[in-house]
Amino acid sequence: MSWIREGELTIIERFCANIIKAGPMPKHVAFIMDGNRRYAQKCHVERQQGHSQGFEKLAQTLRWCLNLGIREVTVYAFSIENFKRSKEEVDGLMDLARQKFSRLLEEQESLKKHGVCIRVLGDLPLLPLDIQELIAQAVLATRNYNKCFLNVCFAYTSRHEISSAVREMAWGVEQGLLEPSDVSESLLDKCLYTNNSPDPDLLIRTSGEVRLSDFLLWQTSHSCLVFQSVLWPEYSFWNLCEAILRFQMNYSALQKARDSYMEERRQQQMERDQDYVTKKLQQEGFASHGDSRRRRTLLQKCTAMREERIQGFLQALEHKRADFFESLCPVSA
Amino acid sequence: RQRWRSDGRALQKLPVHMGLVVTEEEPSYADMASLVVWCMAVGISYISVYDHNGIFKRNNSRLMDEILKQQQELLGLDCSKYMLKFANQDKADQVLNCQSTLKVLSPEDGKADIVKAAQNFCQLVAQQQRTYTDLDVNVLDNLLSSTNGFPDPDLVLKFGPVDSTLGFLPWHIRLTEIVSLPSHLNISYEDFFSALHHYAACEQRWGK
Repeated sequence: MSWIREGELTIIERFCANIIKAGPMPKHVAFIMDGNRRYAQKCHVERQQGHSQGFEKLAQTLRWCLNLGIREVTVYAFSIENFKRSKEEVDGLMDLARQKFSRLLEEQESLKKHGVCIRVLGDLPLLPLDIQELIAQAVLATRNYNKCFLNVCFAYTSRHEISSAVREMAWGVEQGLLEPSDVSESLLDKCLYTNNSPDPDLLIRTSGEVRLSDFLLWQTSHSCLVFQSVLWPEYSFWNLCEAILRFQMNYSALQKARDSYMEERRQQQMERDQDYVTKKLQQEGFASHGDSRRRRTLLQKCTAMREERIQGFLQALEHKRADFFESLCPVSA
Repeated sequence: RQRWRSDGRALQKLPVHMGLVVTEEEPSYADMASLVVWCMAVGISYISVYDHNGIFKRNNSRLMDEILKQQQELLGLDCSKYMLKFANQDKADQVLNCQSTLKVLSPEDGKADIVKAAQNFCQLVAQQQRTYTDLDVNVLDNLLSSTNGFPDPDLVLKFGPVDSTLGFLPWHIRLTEIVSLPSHLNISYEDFFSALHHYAACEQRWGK
């Protein structure tokens, strides 16, 4: 399969994998695959070659992740900011995408066998229509597979993603599906392009840069960030192990921080709900600290109604997104 | 120690907004105060201080006191030249000759602020004063309030063993350089300055 290299680990690699797997392992790893152009310069080849090599390295890295039991990977393939590059380079990257997605569609049996679910995240209408169509086919063909998940961020920036999530919630309000007070952190989570994935446990950026470049800013707020100086096309199994070791060293501190953050969030939601109930009771003419049973009942009722609204809204959102992909594939199999 | 300003000028580039992020469980007011004062002295205009437990924010006044003390100690008679404005209050204090502005932040200034902005926008939509298609990146950016008046951080100095931003301004750090230092405890000016040096040397391609 062109997107996931065939093959097993060498004996030494397997030995190290077994040692690492004795500790906590990330379930979802995100990669900023940086350094293709510097690699090309270093090897005195064309930029396009650098990007091709980069793709090969992606295929190899996905294989390593599967060997290590890491079942979800998200990669930053093309940023909206990258449209600013020269027409030549952008066209080259679009051609690479055409090539790779077309190839992917030829390998449907393999995708089925390995159960690979492909998702493409980004502001897809910004892309050439033929690429949108290829993407839609790939996404629809694999949407029910669940052995492993590959999320490709293409025409993506995190700020666009977060804005789009807020826009969806605003759409929900406009449609009468949501109340403004339904808007919360957890609802925003469910409106991001990544709503079907857990937050990445580990974010790896290669080539020595120490910034996030508008990638998964919301989702990685409590992730382990590992910056490695190796250029992406030169990434090795050992580099990956090194990153996982860092993840393991950070594991308890991050768990603790995440748990206390979630607890704080729960408390604040509880306080907001109590305030809402108090206000409601006052409106209806009851003393705000009166009957605790009345409070409890009202709280339960409001929470249940909110849940119902949210479920309805999320279903509508799901349909909207599925419709978008289906409209790009007029000829269904 | 008149060399502060010249140190700042000697660097190829200086961050306009510096974030000081502590991931250690026990923050030190004295050391953080030193860091803030060094930032001011070197010519950094906007400084934010963050810890994920919100300790600095809850004990804002203690930090301010420590900073004022350090300012006196480190900058002595030149103190008035380096006036620091504390930007945590909502009221705009008019401070003349203000060189630097400080904000003390906590997790509520991150995702929670984005959610607040989203709620406000949705309220306007419910009142039919806006439509959902009005919302884009710039509109959302303008609705955020946690860093009113501050540009996005160019540089974050992250102190402590945890390899994470622990919720520090997720929206604003999209292009921020994140330089890690082992600890803020007993941090020396030399360590601080070499981190600035590291930042000055980095190449930013902005996606191009």
